[in-house]
Amino acid sequence: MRKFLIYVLFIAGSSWALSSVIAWSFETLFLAKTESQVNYKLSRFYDFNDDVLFLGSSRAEQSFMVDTIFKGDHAYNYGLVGTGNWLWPKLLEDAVANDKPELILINVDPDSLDHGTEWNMSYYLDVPHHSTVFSALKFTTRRRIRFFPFKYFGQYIELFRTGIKQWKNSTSYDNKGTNISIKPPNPASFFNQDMAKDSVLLCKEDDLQILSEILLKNNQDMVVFIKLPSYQEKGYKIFFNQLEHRLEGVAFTYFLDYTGELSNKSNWNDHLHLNLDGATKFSKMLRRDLQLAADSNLIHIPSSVQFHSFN
Amino acid sequence: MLFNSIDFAIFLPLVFGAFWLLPNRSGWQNSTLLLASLVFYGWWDYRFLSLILFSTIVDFTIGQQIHRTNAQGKRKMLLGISLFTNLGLLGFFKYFNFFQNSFIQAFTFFGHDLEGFSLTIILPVGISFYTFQTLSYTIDVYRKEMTPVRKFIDFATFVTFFPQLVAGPIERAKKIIPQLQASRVFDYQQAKSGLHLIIFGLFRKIVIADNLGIYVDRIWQYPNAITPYMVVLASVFFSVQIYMDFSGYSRIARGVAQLFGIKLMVNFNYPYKSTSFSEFWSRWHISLSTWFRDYLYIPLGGNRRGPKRTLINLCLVFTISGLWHGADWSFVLWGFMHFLLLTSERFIKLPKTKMMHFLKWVNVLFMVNLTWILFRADTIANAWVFIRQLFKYQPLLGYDALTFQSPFLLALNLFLVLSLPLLLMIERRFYDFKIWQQNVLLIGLLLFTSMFLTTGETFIYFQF
Repeated sequence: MRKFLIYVLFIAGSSWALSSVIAWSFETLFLAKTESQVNYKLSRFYDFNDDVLFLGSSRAEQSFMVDTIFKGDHAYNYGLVGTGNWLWPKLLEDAVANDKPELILINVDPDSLDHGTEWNMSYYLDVPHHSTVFSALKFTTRRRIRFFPFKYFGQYIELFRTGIKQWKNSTSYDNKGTNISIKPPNPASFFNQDMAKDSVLLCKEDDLQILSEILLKNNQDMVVFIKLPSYQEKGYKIFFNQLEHRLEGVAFTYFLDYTGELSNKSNWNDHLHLNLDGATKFSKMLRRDLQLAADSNLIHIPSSVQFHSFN
Repeated sequence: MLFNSIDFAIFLPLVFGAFWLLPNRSGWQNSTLLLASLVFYGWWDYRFLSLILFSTIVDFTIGQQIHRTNAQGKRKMLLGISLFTNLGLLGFFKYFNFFQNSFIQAFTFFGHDLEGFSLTIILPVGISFYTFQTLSYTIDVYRKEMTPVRKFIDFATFVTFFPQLVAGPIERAKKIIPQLQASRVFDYQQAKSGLHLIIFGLFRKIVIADNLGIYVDRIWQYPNAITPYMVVLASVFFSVQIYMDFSGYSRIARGVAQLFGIKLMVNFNYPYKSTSFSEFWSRWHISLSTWFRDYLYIPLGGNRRGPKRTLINLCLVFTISGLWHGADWSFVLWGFMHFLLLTSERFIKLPKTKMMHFLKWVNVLFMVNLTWILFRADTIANAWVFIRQLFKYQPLLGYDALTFQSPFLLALNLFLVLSLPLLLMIERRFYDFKIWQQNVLLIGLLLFTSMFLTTGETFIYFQF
């Protein structure tokens, strides 16, 4: 029995030690705090305290082109693929809790706030354990986010994948958190358009309550809710109008609705996500509207950032 | 609980420790295994423990009763109760909605509108496997091929034995129960080879099957939009995926059982080496094929009642085998197609040359690959859409995103499929290597497995 246990420890221990060394070297040499690292965004969110935060789902990540809207290094796109409406309310709560005045721009998709998933547990590897995001994670995910060097267990492929992507970054536009595929659009994805919401979507009372509670704690950050363009409208506008109506009286909030914009297929990568061309057009529209709102004193822009002036 | 989960990585050492630390008597050992098996099964959904325990109690009692009586009529009646109970539960949980919908569709087709109701029924994990296992016990006792088990704990351990509970191999009582009744003494060599089986099984599942699965799932998401080459890739990848997934599970099951001194049967014997369909079925899911042979085909008369009856028997066995796999006509058709293939080779006699041997191998591989499409599709209509794409021209560029969105994944999958013969060779000749070479191989396999262990993907055969 003892001989067997020693044998198991030898095989498992050697394998684990070797894989930890490989992962650690890989991360230290190639990936340390680089944007293509899958856990970079949330790590930055808590480390950097940017002045302008873009939050939301993959639609946010692939639509808000930060460099087209603002100058400088104080704005960042924290939209994350696969998180739907699940993640951003938690990030919003953590953002309004700190003392720093910020401009927070959020893409809201017509779904309940519990729609969406943690998606990729690697996102959360460096999230502080006292944060709202961490405490909202499933127990199984929290258990799997371990301290160094255990945190690499099961994460190597993601490290290698992102490492290779970074090394040969030829398939996407990747800048300040914005990540847009620059490959030709995929018609197959448009086949899926029937999955788009085709009914009138109503804001759930619980969701509004959660949002209101978060926003009531806010006494300095400007929160802008943005309805991104959509390839097929189908209920998106009704949803957003309702959200706007219900949050009307809440201080420091502002709403921008891009329903009906950019509906031409040439602006889309698939039925949900803009392509680079579409995202550029949209970001210019957003810059224009934010500038107008700021000039009219409807929103406050942090002093550390300026709008880009080029057309 | 999945073999490829952290939960199981904690559970197994705990059970292993408890099993070997407790007194070395079969009663203690089986009680430990029974308790562990109930925890293992209840981890998925504790409510269904009552179902498996009910099935166990029924068959244990009926086994005893059948043995006690010599009256043939009563023995038959008791066997009938066991069959009715076990197949009734299986039928209700697995086939109720399927049969109801099929009846409604059939009546609607003939112009009679029927209103049905659909029940939300959760399919208990492993019900097809443990039902067949308990049935084999009752039938063997009925046939007087074995005496019934006297201790309930021994029988319950046999039915619920966690390594093979949810996806086989479907073991026979006469092989396992004698092992459970004996006190087991720790055997270093047996445990060591069990560990090797676990590592190989995990590699097959986590590194090969799960990675191929990501690609295959992505392609099956848009069957309307794929190009011919993607049809070929997806079907080849799925053939390898299902083999690696299921044989990986069987290997882990055998390995884990060996850690507790129990030897399970080999369930896969390099099926893709087969040069005939009958050979394929003697190498693929052996425990199920032999179950159908012993408890359905032979009782129906096998090949002893003339060629016509043999064909009918084969047809029945294969279509029922298809239905066993899943409650959809696509599985029935899959089984029926295998019947046709098996039958066709009985009638076509080919010369025995090397070239012909090779061509027969290619033919079996191709046809098995083709039938897997039915297996992977949710419905026959979906399978047809998929196959149709093979003959439909689509511009390659348009589907770029589906295949090349992750060039890394595609390259990895191609590498895995192409290097499969090497892996199988290494596995087969593993004990011919020197000890240090074996250790290096195991460490390497485990290293790769740990790299890919991210999501705890479920095993394909769990759904059956």
